[in-house]
Amino acid sequence: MEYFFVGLGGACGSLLRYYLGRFITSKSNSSFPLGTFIINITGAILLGIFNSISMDKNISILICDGFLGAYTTFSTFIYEGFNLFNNKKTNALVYIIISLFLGVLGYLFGIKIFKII
Amino acid sequence: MKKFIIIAIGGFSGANLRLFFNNVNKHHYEIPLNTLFINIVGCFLFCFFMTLIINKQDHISKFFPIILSGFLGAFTTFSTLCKETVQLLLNENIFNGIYYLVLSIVLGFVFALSGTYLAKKVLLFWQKIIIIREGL
Repeated sequence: MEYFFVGLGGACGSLLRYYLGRFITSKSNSSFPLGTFIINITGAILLGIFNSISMDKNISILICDGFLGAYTTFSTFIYEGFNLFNNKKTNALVYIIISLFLGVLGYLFGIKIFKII
Repeated sequence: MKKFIIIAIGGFSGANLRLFFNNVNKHHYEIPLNTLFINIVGCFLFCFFMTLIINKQDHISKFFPIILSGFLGAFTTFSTLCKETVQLLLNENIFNGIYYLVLSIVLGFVFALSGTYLAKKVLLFWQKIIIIREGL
C-alpha cells in the first residue's frame, strides 16, 4: 500500500514541479535557473513543516516521501548548476551555495515555525 | 494531455523506485548513503540522456525530456537532502552534516561530468557507425 501512496504523491509532485517550473521560467528572463531554485527551497520549507506535525504513517509517506520528494529535485539542480559552470563559474557556485544554504535553513525554519508562532 | 500523463507516470515510478531503494537497504550509516546514492545515480542518468537528447533531437521522441524530468526528477530529491543534513547538524554531528552536503554536491558534479562524457563518446561512436554504413 505504501508504494501506491508514494507513487500518488510522486505523480502530483512531478506535475506541480513541471508546470510551476515552466511558469516561473517563462516569467523570468535571466539565465539563473529560478524555477528549480524556488521549487527546491519551498519544498524544503514544506518538508520541515510537515515533519514537525505528527500524522498517520501512510499520509506522511504520501506527502513527505512522495509529494515533496518528487516536487524537489536534485538531478535538475545539478544539471543546471553544471551547465552554468560551463558558462559562468561564479554564477554556478552562487546558485549551488545559495540553494543549499537556503534549503537547509528553510527546513530548519519549517520545523521551528510552530514553536515560533 | 499526453504530456500530463507521461509526467504523472514518470513521477509515480520515480518515487516508487526511491522508496524501493530505501526499503531494500535499511542499514543505518553515519551519513545517509541511500539518498546520496539515489541522487548521484540520478545525476549521472539525467546528464547522460540530456546530452544525447540535445545532440540527437531529430532522432529521439520529443517526449523524452519530459520522461526524464518526470522520472529522474521524482527519483532524486532535494528536500530529503536538506532534512538529513539538518538532522545531522542538530545531533551535534556538524562535521558529518557538512561532509554529507559537500559530498552530495561534489559527487553529483563528478557523476554529471561522467554522464556527459560518456554520452559524448556514445555520440561519436554513433557517428562513426553512420559513416561506415554510408561508405558501404
